[in-house]
Amino acid sequence: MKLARDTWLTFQYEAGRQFHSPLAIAAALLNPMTYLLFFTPFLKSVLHAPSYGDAFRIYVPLLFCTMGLFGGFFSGFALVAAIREGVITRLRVTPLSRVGLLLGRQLMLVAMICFQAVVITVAAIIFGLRVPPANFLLALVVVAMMVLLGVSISYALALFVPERVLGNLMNGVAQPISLLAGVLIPLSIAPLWVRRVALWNPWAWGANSMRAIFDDHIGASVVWEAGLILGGLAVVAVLLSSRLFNREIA
Amino acid sequence: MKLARDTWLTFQYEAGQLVHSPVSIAISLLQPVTYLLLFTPFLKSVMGSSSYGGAYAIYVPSLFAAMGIFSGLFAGFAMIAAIRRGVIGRLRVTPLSRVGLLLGWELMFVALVAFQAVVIAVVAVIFGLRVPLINLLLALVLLSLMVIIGVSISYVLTIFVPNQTVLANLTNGVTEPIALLAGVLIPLSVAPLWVRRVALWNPFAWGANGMRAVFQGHVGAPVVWQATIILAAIAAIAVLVSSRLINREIA
Repeated sequence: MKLARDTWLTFQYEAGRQFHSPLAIAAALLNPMTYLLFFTPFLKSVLHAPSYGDAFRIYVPLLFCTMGLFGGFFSGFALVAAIREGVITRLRVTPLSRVGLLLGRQLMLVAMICFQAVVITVAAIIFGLRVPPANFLLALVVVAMMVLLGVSISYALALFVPERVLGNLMNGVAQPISLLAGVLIPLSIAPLWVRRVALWNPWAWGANSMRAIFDDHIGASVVWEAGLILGGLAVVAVLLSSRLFNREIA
Repeated sequence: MKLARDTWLTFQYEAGQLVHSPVSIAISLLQPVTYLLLFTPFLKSVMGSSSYGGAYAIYVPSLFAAMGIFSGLFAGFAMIAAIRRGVIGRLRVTPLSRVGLLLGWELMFVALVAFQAVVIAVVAVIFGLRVPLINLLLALVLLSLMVIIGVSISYVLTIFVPNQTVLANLTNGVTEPIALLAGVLIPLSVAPLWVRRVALWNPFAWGANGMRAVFQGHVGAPVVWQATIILAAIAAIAVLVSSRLINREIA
């Protein structure tokens, strides 16, 4: 109970800070919006999608995956910045639970990226995407699990890796993961060896299941398989990172 | 004569600094090599290439274009760092010509990107790319012109937008659409008609198309000389405008 309350308090505090910098939120949308508008036409051609609606149905889930992956993986910098600004230290002298502090920050990031996903989807709908609301909500759940997994890995790395190496390490890890999750061109048409490697990539499961959801195949086995894999990994990652955080920060 | 000497001095100084940080050069190669190895298989499938050699002949010029666009247009941040560390201030008290300073920096970026491009080409050759040496050199000329245009634009932007956060967002907001609409991921040749129409106004798209023709062995294709003329003319104008501005602002 106390944990839930502490998480909520941290979430509120962090969300409030975000609200006060709407420009940063807009800037974060710049990149996905550019890809949505200027990469989809290329994809439409090479995948022979009959209409822009079909092309968006292929690309929007991939873009969600990109946002979830990079949003999660690069969140460690915010933690490093918060530690340096003394935010964490000031919160340590309060009776706030350490795990609540971590969970609140992680949930805030999930909310942020879900908000971005909503904006992207609205833009795509204007240009012809059609997706049932229930499917969209299910896709957001998958995004949330991907973000939780990425944030936890990123926080754990941020606590142990020197800051000067952190950026290159994140890039060196996140780029191959994203390409091998098929975030630009779907995995379904990739060569066999790429699809074999992707079986070991949880984000590839996420991307494939989101594509199935957008294609309205909610009952496809990839959807519940991805849910189990991502859900299991996210729980393990959150538990591990909160233990680490407890030991390092508390 | 003095200008050429000053340019060379600046270039030597900057190149020397770079050579002393081989780790940062290696890091700057991380992203292009990742894309080369992990994006080409996808492209091979969608473009229907029969071999990896064919896929690399399509993708390597695109990757060159991406490297030229991003390295060039983000060059301003290095200038901000140099101004902040006082490098510029110290050089201003010397008799070094301001334009020589600018040209030296531009050449340094050209050399750096050309070096990266050679590394990428070598890796691609190992994995099956076949390109005549003379064609590769011609592609490097087009790439150099793209870098010069990008660096000049970036310096001008940096002079007018001193706020680093605004500059970062502005540069990102300009660079990403330019890169995507130059077909740096999927070639323009297969893009919808409206995209190709828009790309006619994008000099970097001309560069990407010109380099792709060169890699396909069509050195005599009209797009090659058209791209060379367009890029050379814009590069000349960009260098002139940016050197006048630099002269006025930091002299």
